[in-house]
Amino acid sequence: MRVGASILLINGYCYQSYSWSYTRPLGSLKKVLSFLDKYEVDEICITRPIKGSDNPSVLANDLRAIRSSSCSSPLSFGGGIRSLASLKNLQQLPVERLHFSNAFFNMNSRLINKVKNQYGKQAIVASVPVKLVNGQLFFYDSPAKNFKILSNKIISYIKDNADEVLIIDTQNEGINNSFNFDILDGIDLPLNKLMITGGIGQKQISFAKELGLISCLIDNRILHRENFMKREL
Amino acid sequence: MINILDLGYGNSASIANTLDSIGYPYELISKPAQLHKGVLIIPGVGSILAFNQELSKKNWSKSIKQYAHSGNNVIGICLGFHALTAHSEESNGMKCMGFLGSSVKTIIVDKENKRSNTGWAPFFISKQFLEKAKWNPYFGRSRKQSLQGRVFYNHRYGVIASENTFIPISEREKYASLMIKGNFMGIQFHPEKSQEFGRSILEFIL
Repeated sequence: MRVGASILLINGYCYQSYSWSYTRPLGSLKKVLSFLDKYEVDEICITRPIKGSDNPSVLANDLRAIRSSSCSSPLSFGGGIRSLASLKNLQQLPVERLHFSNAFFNMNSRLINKVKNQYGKQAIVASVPVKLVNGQLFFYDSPAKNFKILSNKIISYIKDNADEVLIIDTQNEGINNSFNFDILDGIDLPLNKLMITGGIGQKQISFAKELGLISCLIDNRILHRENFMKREL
Repeated sequence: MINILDLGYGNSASIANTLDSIGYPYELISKPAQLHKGVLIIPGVGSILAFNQELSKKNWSKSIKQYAHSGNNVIGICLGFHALTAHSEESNGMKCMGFLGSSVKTIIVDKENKRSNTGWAPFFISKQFLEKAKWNPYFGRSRKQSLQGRVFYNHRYGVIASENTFIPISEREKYASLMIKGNFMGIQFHPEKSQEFGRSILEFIL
């Protein structure tokens, strides 16, 4: 199982997020990536948290920041890739994999097929921010800025088109050892296709390994408690 | 000089960054006329259909053949490796350049579960192996006799290990992690994304 790091990118700077609402600055992307590279984490997931509509100039800034970083660890990127036009901006981006949320929730086959042809299916990760309320699973619809019921139809579409699926526990994000594994009961996807983030700690990593998940991305304690993280990895 | 074939795919930039960090001279090139003597790296992230279309546009196949026959080294990485084989199962089957031999083919790695091989796996390479394969590094800066560490893979299709000199993928012995034939080398993993060990590998083979 891979153990990596999950960071948010907002206008060229990295942040750690708490419970899908609060952010804590971590520094420039270049510095953050250079530290994580030094720790030799298994992978780094960079997400642009777009709530509502995206700003093209901010997207351009963020892509510029990724292009100018020289990271020798596996990188994946997502956030704001909602159309064929936005896909064009990704040329020369030094990432191996791309994360999509909206494209999967809207079952945007035009975009997904274009990515398959251009980057290969191994590059496609479905990123699913979820919350569990009274046993019902909801996904975050970022353009609408609210949570909606995660239907079996969407899950089936994800199953057919994504190489791996990143489940984000939005309620426990940033909180140590709190990822809610009950979420996985509500998602009919093979465990060996699942990556998790949101409240990942040492206990979660051990349990995820037992379950046979493919990756855990540590969202909290990135950089501001470096030694703690180093031990964990 | 190291020539990095730049067809607009992401990992040409990653390879350039890595070469920068270990101090090798390189140039990103997009036309055969720009080729310098030394080494040509063919990176590749994506699907073979789009990649082969880009290669055909500028008749790269002929130029690569001539380049290798003039004593220069050619290294294909990941999809660049697949492009050097004779045929790929990807994109409903596709003829490729065939420089690693007519029997060397690319097939899907996990047909049953349709999953990619994404992650880290152990890798070992020795000078003895390179000598056996008659691979002469152009720069030859590394004085190490062997290297052992872990490398990063991200692929759904893999090259079937053949009569050529090859190192298999750990726990997927049917597939080649690194293969050599004459002046052609194919690498399935991403040395440019395999951190410090990846840099050592590049120094070892360049």
